Amino acid sequence: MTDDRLQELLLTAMPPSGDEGPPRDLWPQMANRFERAPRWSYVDLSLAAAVIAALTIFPEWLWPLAYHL
Amino acid sequence: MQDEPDRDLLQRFAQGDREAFEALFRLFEREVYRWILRIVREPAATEDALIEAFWRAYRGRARFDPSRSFGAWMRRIATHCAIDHLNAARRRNWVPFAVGRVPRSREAVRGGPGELGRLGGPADPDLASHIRRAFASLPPKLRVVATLALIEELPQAEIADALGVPIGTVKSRLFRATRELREELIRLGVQT
Repeated sequence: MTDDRLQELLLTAMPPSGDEGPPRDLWPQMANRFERAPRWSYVDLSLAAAVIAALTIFPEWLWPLAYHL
Repeated sequence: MQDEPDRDLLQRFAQGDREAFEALFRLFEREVYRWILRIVREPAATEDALIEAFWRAYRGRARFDPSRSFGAWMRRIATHCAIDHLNAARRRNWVPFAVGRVPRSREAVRGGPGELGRLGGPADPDLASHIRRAFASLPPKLRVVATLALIEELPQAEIADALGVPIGTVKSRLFRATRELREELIRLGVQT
């Protein structure tokens, strides 16, 4: 099978995409994506602070913690 | 390609201005959609990939240099989002492709010139289906290059720019893609 023949087969089975644009305004979806962006809650921040404090006081906990993560 | 927006708009975007981002989104939405559709070839998935591409652009705005082309930068991000989509789709469909991938037909599907219909409507649906399946079996990195070069017939330099790779890489991927495609078609019994 030659390269030209292969391309001919491909073009027949899968024609090039047209000049179409998005069927609707996609900005509302984009704006919604901003709302879904993960944010740090007070619980997350408290937990992170507690872990850092614990590791500062007991640095030997780092390896067991790293193992379990 | 879309005309480049003014420098002030790009600078405001790089500083995180949401209104500037919305203006850029509206300017480039259509172009990015068409680009992703060329690769993904599925409108619903294209919308998702477009949102993801602009989201990545917004998050990576600090890395954008306002003196460079926004369109080219955005196209590169969109290309990688489209490849990620193809990878995810491939993982979801992994079992049917992996287990024997496609059952070998008893009778070889013959695709002589007379059996090809006009562009967009192959006369032999089995043949078209086999070609699409063989194409879908290509690794996404090869499939993207094959799609853009063989189906969309874009210049290799443009493909290299969109992928962020040297033109030699595009040539080698295209070579591997055609070789694997040919082998897969033969395996499926397509004799031409």
